[in-house]
Amino acid sequence: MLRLLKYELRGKLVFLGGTGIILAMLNLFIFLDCNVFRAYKYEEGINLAFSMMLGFAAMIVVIVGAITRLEKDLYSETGYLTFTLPKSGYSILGAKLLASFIEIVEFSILNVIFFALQIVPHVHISKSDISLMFKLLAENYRFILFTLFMMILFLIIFILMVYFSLVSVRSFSKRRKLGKAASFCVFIGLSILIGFTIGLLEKAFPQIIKLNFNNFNTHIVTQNIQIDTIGEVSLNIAASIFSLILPFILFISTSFLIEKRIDI
Amino acid sequence: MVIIFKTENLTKSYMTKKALKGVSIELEKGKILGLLGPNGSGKTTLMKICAGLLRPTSGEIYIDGLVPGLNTKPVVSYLPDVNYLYRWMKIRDAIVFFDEFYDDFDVKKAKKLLEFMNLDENSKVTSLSKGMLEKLHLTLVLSRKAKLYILDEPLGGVDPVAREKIIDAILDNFNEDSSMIISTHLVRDIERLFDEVVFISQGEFILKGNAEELRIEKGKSIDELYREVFQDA
Repeated sequence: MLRLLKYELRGKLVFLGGTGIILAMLNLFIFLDCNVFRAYKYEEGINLAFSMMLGFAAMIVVIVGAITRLEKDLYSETGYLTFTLPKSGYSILGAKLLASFIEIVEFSILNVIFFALQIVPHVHISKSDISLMFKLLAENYRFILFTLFMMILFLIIFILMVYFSLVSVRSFSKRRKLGKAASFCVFIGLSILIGFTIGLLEKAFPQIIKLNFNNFNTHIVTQNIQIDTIGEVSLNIAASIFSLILPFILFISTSFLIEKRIDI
Repeated sequence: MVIIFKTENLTKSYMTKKALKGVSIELEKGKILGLLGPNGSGKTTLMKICAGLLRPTSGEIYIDGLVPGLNTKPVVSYLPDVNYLYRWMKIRDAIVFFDEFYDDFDVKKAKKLLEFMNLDENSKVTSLSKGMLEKLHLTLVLSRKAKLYILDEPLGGVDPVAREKIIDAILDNFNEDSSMIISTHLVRDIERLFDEVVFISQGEFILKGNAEELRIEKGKSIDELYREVFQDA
């Protein structure tokens, strides 16, 4: 799978490298416009709004890239290369999923950096602020890990739902245009089905579990940092278990279809 | 007699259209089969089923005793009739790619073949002409030590000089431990390679047999026979 992953990442290197460079240059332009040319002031927040919009646009580009990664193999000639390799459906799908995940994480980090760069020159952060931030991070690592885990879980479920929709349609249709429209319909149907199932589970098994991140029920205000959070998260047990199992179901069924059902 | 490739009553349907209508054939180890027919006759469909890219609708197919799929992919070397390499690749990258994924890939042989085909390792795949691409694909496919080679239209869109080179490369690199299926409608150039031939039309085998026996029996070359059989196609 790692070999496949290498080629998956290499295939989008130029495209995503270009997107990253454009993102960096536009952010730099906004930075200069705000801090050197003074077209607008930091206090107006326009630079932050632009930076966020750019980051959002870049994420859409990356996510579309993640989707087309499989779609291309299903509908273009590169499928002859990918699907004649002596690699299982698990390996092929795993490599694509992992590559997409890595790229999305990369761009998320880039967005955070560029956004922070817009703020940093205008905010005075003292040594005590920094030490306080690290202290908070250390004290509340459980909440942070939980939040990260939930974000990653939903990201993986989203990508797998798209992949499942593409592959399931490709299993019975060879026509590209029809296939794309049908895949979108399957994705919508699948989203409704998953939402409906979660609703049913929550009704049938209303038991909840309360995750208490009690270190984090703080309200801290220093000169420049303000943190307000809740310390407790309630989760429906049945729906949570379903959400944890769902990526495995999607992964196994999509891999099966890739290996045993699709016609290229 | 070792049978490498066998189909029994194999059919493939796309919605209402039947691309293969119950075809049966066997191919022994060490033999080259010519799969001959006009465009749309079902040649590519049969080859794609062998390569594990299509699933048959009914019937049986075995490669080295196994149903096509993950287990047969390491022993089947498939040359499709399209450019299937990644656009970012240079020839060198394609060689490394095949070497990394196929245990039976012979890099030395590939480099020798590249030299024979006058291909530069530093050339980008997208900069190659149709003939050069065909040579590159053939280099990659023949550099594997597979049990079954499947070449789909290896001469399609290639000029006569390149055709000769391709045919020579196939002849020089084929070994008695393997079998080969070659589909083509350019029969005259390549018929000397065939041990067995199958004429396919509208998804059905309309004539099959040993190439030499057919020549003697009909008193014609395979090319002449092809023209006679498909004169209306």
